Amino acid sequence: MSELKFEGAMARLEEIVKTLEKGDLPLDRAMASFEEGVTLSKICLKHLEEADRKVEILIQSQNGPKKAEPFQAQDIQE
Amino acid sequence: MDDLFSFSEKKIYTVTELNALIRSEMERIFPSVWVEGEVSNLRTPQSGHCYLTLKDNGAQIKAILFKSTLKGIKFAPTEGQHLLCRGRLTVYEPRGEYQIVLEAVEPKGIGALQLAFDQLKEKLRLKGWFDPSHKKPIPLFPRRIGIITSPTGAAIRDMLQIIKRRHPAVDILINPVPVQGDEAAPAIARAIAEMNEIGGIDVLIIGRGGGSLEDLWAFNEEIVAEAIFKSDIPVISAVGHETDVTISDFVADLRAPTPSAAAELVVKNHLELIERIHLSKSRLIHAYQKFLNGMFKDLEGLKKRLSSPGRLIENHFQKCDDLIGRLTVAVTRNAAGRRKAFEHLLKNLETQNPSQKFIRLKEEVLRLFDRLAKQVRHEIALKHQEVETLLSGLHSLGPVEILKRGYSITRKLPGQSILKSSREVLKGDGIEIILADGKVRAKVTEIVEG
Repeated sequence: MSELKFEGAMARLEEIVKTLEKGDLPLDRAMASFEEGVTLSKICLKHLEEADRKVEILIQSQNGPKKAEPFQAQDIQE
Repeated sequence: MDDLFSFSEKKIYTVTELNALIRSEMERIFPSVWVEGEVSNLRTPQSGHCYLTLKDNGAQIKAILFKSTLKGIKFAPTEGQHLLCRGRLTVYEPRGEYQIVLEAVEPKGIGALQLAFDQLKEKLRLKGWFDPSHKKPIPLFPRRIGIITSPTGAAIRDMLQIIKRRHPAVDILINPVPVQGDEAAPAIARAIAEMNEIGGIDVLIIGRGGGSLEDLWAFNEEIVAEAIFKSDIPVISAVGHETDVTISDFVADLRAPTPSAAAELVVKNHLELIERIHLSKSRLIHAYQKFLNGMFKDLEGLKKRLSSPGRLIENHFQKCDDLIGRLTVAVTRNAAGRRKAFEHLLKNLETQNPSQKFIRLKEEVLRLFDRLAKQVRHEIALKHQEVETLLSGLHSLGPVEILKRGYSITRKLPGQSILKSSREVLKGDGIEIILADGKVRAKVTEIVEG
């Protein structure tokens, strides 16, 4: 999902919340909105949580291109 | 002495003349020289001109900075400062002292860097590299952050600490470079290009911790500025402390006052967005619950307004009693009529002994009465069932709380309209039954109307 699409999804989610908060929908539309909202919030969160939280460092390999390896941060004190 | 006077044709100068001659010769030979030395005997009297002596280990020379020249110098000369100067030599005739009139002054070392800084800044500004139109937006929630700095410096430690503490879902790729010394600038420039080649990196942070102007110098080099300007990935420059300003800061898409601030900046939005989604989600659930509760309340109201089933049944019983009463009357009346006819017949048939026929007739009357009573009972049962159906239908419209008690909402697929009648579906249609804790999707196998 691109940032643009994500922005769209966020906007739609917030619009749904506002509509539902007004509370003047018929039951089936309210249910559909609620479900759409829950789905959107899941998609948005998933998008934001996608990365693995890896910390890597580029190391020069012998006669080759640099390669990413896990960064050992023992010297990084809390 | 004779020798002296024997050169009578020789010009004999007065001191004034001699000094004037020396002065003009000196000014002719040294109209502009560069000299470096340490400042001493610095004094600035009322006149505003600045008098000083430039010296090194072996010698010294008097120097003067006129007020007009002094105005154009961005710094104030101080005692002991090492200066690089350009000036013209002259002689102060009244004393016969030669001196250098300074026309341009730079503190040596740090000052030369400053000059280079100013010159490069001006050059790049003219090229338009600092224009806001060249600034790329920093992504709202970068997921892969490239960091170009020393892998052992304070900057990487600070940045990783902040990112670790906030724990956002970001990947970090460090491209290790020396951040000071002659190798630093080309290494940083190369690293920026490498990060662009690797791809998939959303934002770059280049920087280092605090240090002297010399320490930070790599970030003032044109080669680094050019790499930043050419980077397709947005670059955040985070060099030194808040007060340190580098060329990188000007060219970068964003300047962070410190490496820590840069780290905060790239993860802040990320966390804010996650918070915003969670907030939306809880508002969504709250609103929906409120909506359902409101609907439930409405249903309760409607239920109250409906006659209670007991009353309905009572009504039906009354109706039934009424019917039975009327039936009895009718039957009685009918019986009375038949009796008349019977009596008539009896009268007619008294002689023919019609007792058998009379018995049959009586049986038929009883049978008719039975059938009628049965039919009325059946009608009551039907009405009763109708009321039950109505009530259970009312419940099944209820929200989650009701679903929990074992009721369900059935929706037609794929339209998802709520099913209110068996006539709305056909055999083979897909339906979705919503229960308190989930959904069941099913196919209609039979439709029983009624």
